[in-house]
Amino acid sequence: MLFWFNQKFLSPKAFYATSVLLLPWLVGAFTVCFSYGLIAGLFIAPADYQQGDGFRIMYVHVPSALTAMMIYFVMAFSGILTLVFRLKIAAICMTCSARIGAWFTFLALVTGSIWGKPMWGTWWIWDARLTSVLILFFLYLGFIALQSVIVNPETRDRAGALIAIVGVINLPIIHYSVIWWNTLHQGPSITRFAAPAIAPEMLYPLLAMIAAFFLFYGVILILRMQNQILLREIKKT
Amino acid sequence: MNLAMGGYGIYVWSSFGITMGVLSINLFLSLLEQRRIKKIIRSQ
Amino acid sequence: MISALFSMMHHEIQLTRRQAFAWLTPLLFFVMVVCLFPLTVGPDDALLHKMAPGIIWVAALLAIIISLSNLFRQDAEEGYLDLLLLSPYPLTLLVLCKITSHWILYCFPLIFITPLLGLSLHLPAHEIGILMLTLLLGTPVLILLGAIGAALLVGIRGHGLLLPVLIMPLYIPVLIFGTNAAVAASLHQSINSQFAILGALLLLNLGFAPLFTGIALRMGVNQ
Repeated sequence: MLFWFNQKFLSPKAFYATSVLLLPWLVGAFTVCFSYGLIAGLFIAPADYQQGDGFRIMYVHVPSALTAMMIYFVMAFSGILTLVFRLKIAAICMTCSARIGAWFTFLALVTGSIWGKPMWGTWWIWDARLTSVLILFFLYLGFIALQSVIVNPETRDRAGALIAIVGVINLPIIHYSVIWWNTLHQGPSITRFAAPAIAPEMLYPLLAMIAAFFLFYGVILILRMQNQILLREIKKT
Repeated sequence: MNLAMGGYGIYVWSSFGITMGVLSINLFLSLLEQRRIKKIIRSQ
Repeated sequence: MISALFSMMHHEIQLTRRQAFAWLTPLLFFVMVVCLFPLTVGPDDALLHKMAPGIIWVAALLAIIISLSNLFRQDAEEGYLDLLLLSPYPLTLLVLCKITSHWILYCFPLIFITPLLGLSLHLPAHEIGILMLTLLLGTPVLILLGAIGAALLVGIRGHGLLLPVLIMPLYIPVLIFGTNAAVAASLHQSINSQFAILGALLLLNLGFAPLFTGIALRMGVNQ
């Protein structure tokens, strides 16, 4: 019964067929969310009281950081499926997600750094959020590096799954220890990202951008998974 | 059309620019890869 | 079964006795790294005192990571690892046993030499004591987590610095709380919460890490 379920929905071929149907909808939804978020975030939302127009960087920084974290959870969940159920499609999802996640983490770091310059005068600050994102970046890169050294494909999937699971278990611990560390070393002037008072005109574009980034991840993930599935088919013949 | 962004223009636009760059790079890399693979399949 | 575990630990210690001086290499590395810091940041008392917990912890971390590369390597080469995997005893316990002997062999020297290094970095006595306690609680966690990485990389030749790169992010909580306990002690603040968390991390990893290491070992040997 489980085998039938696997073949019908989760086998690479079935997934490929479904993904081809799903893709246009995701692209459409992304276009809608992204256009609204971009236009409203850049031009319609009112300027922040404290940060002026500089706060608009939030509309790309926060979504990329959130997406980067979400992708890691997807990766770890796929890892569990790979390790416990030996699902090929989960392994493919995990491997593809890692690279996309690394890109978003990089983006979060760069936009966060650019945001920091006008706000605090430095290109980098060791605050809780940026440091957490930096550590997440290292976790992604470590995963990709581990998979690149292992030759045997099945071991590669299983080893990657294990390190992803170990990483996700440690992620809350790392995150809270960094927050705790940060509270100790705060200067007398609290230099955190002052979350702008979220008026609805500011919030909706942010939600739209977050949705847009999630949808973009979905689109790129599907494209890359399709590529991987095709590559594996070619290697078989 | 507030292009100067109250003096923060360079920061805001460079962030959004880098974002568009990263998103586009990902999109194009994936599409190019797919085109390359489909060419291999067709030639088999 | 207890006797099997003890004989395994005895075996580990016997193996190390054959390469007597090599056993102390991580210790030498530890001492040398610590000595690099006064040479680079200057011998100012106050600065070294402030940096001392961090320096000693980072140096210990590096020494441990390097010693971890060899945790399973020799066993894998000699085929002993395959024997372990076929043993009737639970792999988790065998792994725990191996980790314990590794900890006793490699971390005790580090902890014992810490007072000397602490004095050279101008740490007062009771802070050295706190630092040693944090090392006592924290180094097992480093080895437990590192064992997972070592097991994942056991079959792979020349992985070089991949092991540190892989597990250093996981070390950050231990590092933060370990060093902060020492710093809080120097400021005469309470150190209960830091030690509570170090203890919790130790228990958590004692529970999970050998299990994951066993899974990783089974993967690697099938290559």
